[in-house]
Amino acid sequence: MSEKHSPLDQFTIHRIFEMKIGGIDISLTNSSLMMIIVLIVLNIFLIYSTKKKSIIPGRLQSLAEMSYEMIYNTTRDNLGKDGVRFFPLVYSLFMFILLCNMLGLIPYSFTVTSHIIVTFALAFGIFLLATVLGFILHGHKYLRLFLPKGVPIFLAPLLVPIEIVSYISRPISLAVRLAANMMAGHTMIKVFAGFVVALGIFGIAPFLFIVLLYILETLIAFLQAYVFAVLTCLYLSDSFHPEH
Amino acid sequence: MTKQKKINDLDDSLNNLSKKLDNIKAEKVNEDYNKTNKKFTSFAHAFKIVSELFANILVGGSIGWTIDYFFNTKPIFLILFLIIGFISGIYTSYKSSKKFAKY
Repeated sequence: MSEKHSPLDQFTIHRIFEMKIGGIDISLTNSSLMMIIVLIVLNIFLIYSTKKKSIIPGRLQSLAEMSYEMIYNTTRDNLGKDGVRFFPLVYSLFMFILLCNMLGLIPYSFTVTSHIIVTFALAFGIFLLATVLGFILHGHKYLRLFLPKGVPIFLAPLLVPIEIVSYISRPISLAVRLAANMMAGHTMIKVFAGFVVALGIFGIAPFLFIVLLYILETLIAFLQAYVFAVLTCLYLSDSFHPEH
Repeated sequence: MTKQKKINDLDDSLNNLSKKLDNIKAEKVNEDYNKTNKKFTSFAHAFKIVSELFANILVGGSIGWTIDYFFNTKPIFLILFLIIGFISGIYTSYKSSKKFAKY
């Protein structure tokens, strides 16, 4: 049992319900179970909280309205009036990541967003969308993103690889940021929790530190979801106006 | 007659006052919203710069490694693209900082 107490043990994926279709493993793991729980909680929260539609909102309704308004304003500020049609995408992404982060903070649950493949799938989807959208809106002129106007042509061999690297690194930076933040926080909490047991009566000091750390983690869980939403807007706005 | 007029005047001034109050309230709410939003955007900016620097170097390195792997030119392109990745990391941070300074 001793290896079960490693700080990284909380991130292991194990199958709960084995399934195989045509040689492809589609078992229900603890990660996918957590995602399903997140989606159910999210739907129940949003449907239940907006059911009453009272003019003076109650607690739940004002929570739903606040999150809606915040993301709506961010989308409008970054993408302009045209881009508001991408608001549903940004809002769903924000709420999904926020709930994944928040529910992951509950002891004995699983943090889906601490796995880089999950965050990378989300980020790569946005990257594909931004690229395809840019080519649909601007055609071959979208390639201007790699060589802005007014740059002398002899700088092109230097500038074009730099811009290409910086363009490709977008989804990776999105994915790494979210996953690394969530993983680092949870590992740190687990390490300090180990100290509580090891120090006996003096364990009160790391215990108090964990309480503070939990507050910080809650802030980071929210902040990372918000950062993901804002950067989605920023990358999409580049496909609307590649010249800037 | 004069009494009626007085009452009307009072009503008018009362209405003016409540209008003024409403305006001030709206401004205050807007200000508060902008303040919190700006704080979050600054945080977002900080996170963005750090992870972009890292990701750019990573992407540069992996592009260089892949080219080396296929053309058997072991360390040349890896080194070249690591440098390009570093430059592009700084360049991206510079660009987003410039954009951010406009807020």
